[in-house]
Amino acid sequence: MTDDPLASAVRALHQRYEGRSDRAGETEAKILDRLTSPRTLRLRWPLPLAAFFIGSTAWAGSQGHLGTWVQGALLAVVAPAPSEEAQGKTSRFVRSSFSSARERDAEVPAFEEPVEPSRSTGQAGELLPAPAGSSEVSSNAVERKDANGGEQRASRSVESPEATRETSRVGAAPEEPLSVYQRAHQSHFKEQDFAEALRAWNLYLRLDPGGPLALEARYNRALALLRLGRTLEAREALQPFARGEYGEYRRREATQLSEHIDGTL
Amino acid sequence: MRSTASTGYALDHLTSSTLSAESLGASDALLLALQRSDRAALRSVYQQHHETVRAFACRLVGHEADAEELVQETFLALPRAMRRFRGQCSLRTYLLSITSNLAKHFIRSAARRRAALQRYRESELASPDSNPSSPEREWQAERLAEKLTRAMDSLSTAQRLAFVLCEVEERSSSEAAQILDVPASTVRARVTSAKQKLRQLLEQENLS
Repeated sequence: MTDDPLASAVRALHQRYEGRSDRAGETEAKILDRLTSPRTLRLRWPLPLAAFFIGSTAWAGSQGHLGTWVQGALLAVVAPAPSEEAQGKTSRFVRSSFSSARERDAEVPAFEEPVEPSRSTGQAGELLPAPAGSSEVSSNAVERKDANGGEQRASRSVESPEATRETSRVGAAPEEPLSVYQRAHQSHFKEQDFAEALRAWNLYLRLDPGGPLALEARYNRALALLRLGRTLEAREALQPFARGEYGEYRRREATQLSEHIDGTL
Repeated sequence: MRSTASTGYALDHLTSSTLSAESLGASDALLLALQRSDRAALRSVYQQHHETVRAFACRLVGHEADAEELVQETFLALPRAMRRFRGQCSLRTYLLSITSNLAKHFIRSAARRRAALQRYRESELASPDSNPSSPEREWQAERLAEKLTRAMDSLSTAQRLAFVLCEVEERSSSEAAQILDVPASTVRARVTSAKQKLRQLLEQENLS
């Protein structure tokens, strides 16, 4: 009986490269050596930002607006809300640059009001309010926050001891951002505890607003808001993705979700 | 306004595909760390999967040094590729897909080297005296593997990939389809035409 020569050759080729290679360790070392070092990654953001500042400072100086511009640019990067003058002068640059992300990042704490209704363990169902009134209350809360944010926060702090514990926990022992992210992820996707997930997403974004996982955290935060019935806040959180401010990252999904939200309003 | 409960339920089909790292079958933290080019994460993945990737690369390229470079490039490309990963397959399958996408250059390089060395290698292998310490059976198997590798140089890259995945690596056509991102029927067609061509070439070589 003649064996199929092709089948014999295939077996031979299969067996020739079975098992471990002597080169495995050497290849592993080469891969890790060639991997971009974390230090290089950390330089990626400050360098273009520095270039932006240097170039714009030179321009502003030539125009005689250096003092005003510097103040405005610093506000745009660091402060929660830039001044109107700075916004008018720098909005075009800010919105198209990394600084715009920082500006939005700084706004996150405003959403992190401890507005979750007070609950005890095991009453997760109450976190998915059925009546439309709850969403309206949430949206009204968003609208009122600029005017009475402090008062709202204070009164709601009384109502939700979990948030108070969260704040004190954060203040007492700062967590590593990655562990907070993992906690948020666990709560959101495994335990489906969206209230806890939202707290953790917000905390992560406070700890590491410009970090490599910040975009995904921001998106997941929007999903958590949506799951909690805070549709207007969710829609607002999805808008930067839908508008393409982060490129194509989650743009399609955010657009679909926004359209769905609009359809339900 | 719809109740939030029904809104949440109705949104499942939209949000399920967008939930990050939900259905990946691997540690979520590991996969997210890969996206950040975390060295420890990459080392962990390498140690888990390098044998599979290397075996495939070697069988595909037919030259160990070139295949080793292909393995390197595969794992170096992984962090960036992870940003597009949406849990559509296992991490191992995804790695093989990366390898397949990068393989073309290495296949061509190895094929050129083989063509240039063919006469020399044939004379070496044709003489049993040149391998006095190798058992006859191993030598025959080595020769067969070399013959097949040379014959595969006449296949297109697409046929070669399909043939190695399905015949040499003995993967199913559906898994090969996932790796190559083509329909399973296309994989089967490529394998069939590859086998026909290889049989002809091996018969010609046996006759000569």
